[in-house]
Amino acid sequence: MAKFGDSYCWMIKDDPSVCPYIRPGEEYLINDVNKRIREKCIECEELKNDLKNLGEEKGPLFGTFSTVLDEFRKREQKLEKYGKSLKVKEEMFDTMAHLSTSLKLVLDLDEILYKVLVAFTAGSSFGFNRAIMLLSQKGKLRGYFAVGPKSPEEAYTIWNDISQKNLTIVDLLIFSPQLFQKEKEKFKEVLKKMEFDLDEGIFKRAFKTGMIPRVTSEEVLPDVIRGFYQGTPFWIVPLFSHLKRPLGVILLDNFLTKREVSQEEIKAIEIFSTEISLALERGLTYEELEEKIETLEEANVKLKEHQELIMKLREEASIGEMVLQMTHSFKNPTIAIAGLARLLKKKTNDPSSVSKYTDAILEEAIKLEKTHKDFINFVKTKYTSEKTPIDINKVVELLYQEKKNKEKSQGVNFHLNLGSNLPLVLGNDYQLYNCIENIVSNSIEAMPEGGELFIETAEEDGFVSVGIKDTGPGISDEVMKNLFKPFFTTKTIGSGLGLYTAKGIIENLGGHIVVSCERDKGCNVTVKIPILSKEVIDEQNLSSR
Amino acid sequence: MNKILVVDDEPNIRLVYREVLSDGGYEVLEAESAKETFEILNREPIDLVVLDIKLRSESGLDVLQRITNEFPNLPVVLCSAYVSFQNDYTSWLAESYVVKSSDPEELLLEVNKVLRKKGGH
Repeated sequence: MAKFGDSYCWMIKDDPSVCPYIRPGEEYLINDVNKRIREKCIECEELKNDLKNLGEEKGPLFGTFSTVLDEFRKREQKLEKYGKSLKVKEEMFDTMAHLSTSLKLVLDLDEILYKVLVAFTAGSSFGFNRAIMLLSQKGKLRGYFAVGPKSPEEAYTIWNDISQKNLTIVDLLIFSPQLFQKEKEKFKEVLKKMEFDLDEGIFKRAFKTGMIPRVTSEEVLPDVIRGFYQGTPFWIVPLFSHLKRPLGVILLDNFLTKREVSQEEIKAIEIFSTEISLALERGLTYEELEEKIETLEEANVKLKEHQELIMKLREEASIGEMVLQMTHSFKNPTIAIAGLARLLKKKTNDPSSVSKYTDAILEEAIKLEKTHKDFINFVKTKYTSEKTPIDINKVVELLYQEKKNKEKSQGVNFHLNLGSNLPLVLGNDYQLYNCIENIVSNSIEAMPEGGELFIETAEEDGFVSVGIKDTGPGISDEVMKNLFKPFFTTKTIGSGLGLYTAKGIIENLGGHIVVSCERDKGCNVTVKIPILSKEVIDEQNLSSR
Repeated sequence: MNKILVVDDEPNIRLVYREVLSDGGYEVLEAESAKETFEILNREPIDLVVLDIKLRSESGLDVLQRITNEFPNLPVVLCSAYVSFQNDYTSWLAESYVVKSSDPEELLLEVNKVLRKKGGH
């Protein structure tokens, strides 16, 4: 009984013995009765009973007090509940807002999944104990990632850590590949086992309705799922692409706290799952793109290797072709020489035949010599590449001196016009000489009846040019088309390698050969070689020191 | 006197063949291209063609095919620097196949043989 004589416990001042509910530190309540009623008695069964008894003894007024107190308590409980719910909702909203911002800039699939699952398990918001991500791949749902503690001990450590360090959702959402791997490793075994058909009962239902079902052990479950949850209910959050294709599911549960999830919470997750789906689809697309890029890059490398191989094979084929051509080139003159020699031997008593035969023998020997020379040039072009700074005028002048007198007797007049102060070019003087000689020889041969040959050097547009112009009959379009192809020749004496080799030499130096012809007016061949820049000269000097 | 047409783009080879075949008692005509070959064949009766397999800008085998179409009874002795052409079935159209060698007398013997065979029929 809380009655003390005529008084009641909730009326008595200055007597600590009347209320057993005053705890150390609350001693001020001993004197302050009003405060004590507000803080203690209002919740106290003694007061309620006293008011009830007073109502019976002293009339209905006191009875009303008891009813009011009852109602007051009910309302307070409701208020407390609303307050809690509001707090949870605020926290959820907070988490969602943070995750939303945090996901916006992320492309990496692992980072997206990490953030999503952490948001679902962060204690201050949704606060699920565990979250598992299954991704849809080739018609199957496969375990990809999971977060959460494996045991109560671990849960305690994690939650303690979070509260001690005062970590907020912002801190928790910070991603690192190491953290991701650590979590993934933890659930490795079970993730590996989780592989289900998309139309497996529980998942089919979630995908069909788009809702978040609460699944219990009473339902038909795959063994892996049943074994993992061991009677704990769990929730399936289905995720869809923008074309409503299943992307995956998130499995959520509270195996430690056994907390149930409110309808409001489910609704919030439903709304939020759209945003998660979008981020996931982005991550998957990005990953797919990255894979494709990687595949393409690999293909590119292979293609390059293949191209190099083709180049090599082509080169080998061209060498093979060349050897075959050489056989022919050598065989015909050899046969002619041998045949003529036999005839000569047979007919030495007929002097009229002798000069005819010896002329022919000489001609064939020259053919062999020429083929031999072309071959040497070809090999040198292919297999030597030492380059030095060269004054092209010196090369042209040397050629001019050598050809001038020799060809004059053939009725060809040489005209030389060397540009002054020409910059140097980088090349191999032997190759360049042969290249220009080849073109000059072609021009001379184009004028069997004699004519004029102009050689001039100049500088233009970053190139040093050598122009060779003849007054021959020009060449047909057909010949022009094949001019630089290997083994193409219109000459009786010629291997068909000369111009092909020349083109190779010039292109190797970064230059090119331009040919223009006019019927009955002759051909104009211009060889253009890039000027050797000052930087390259300096660089070469430096490196040679 | 049997008339022989030597088709080869190498003038000195033609010279050697002409001399050898003339000494062997034949009348020799020369052509250096397909064009010249058919001009001559259409102009006068020829008893045998000696054909080089590799003319400068045209294939001797194409020429051979045209000869066998247009002049089915005209024997052709094919000459080549390569043995490998013997594997080309087109070359089987020729009456005979001679691989060029340093002894032109071989060609004469082959020509004699082919014409003897033809005369026998």
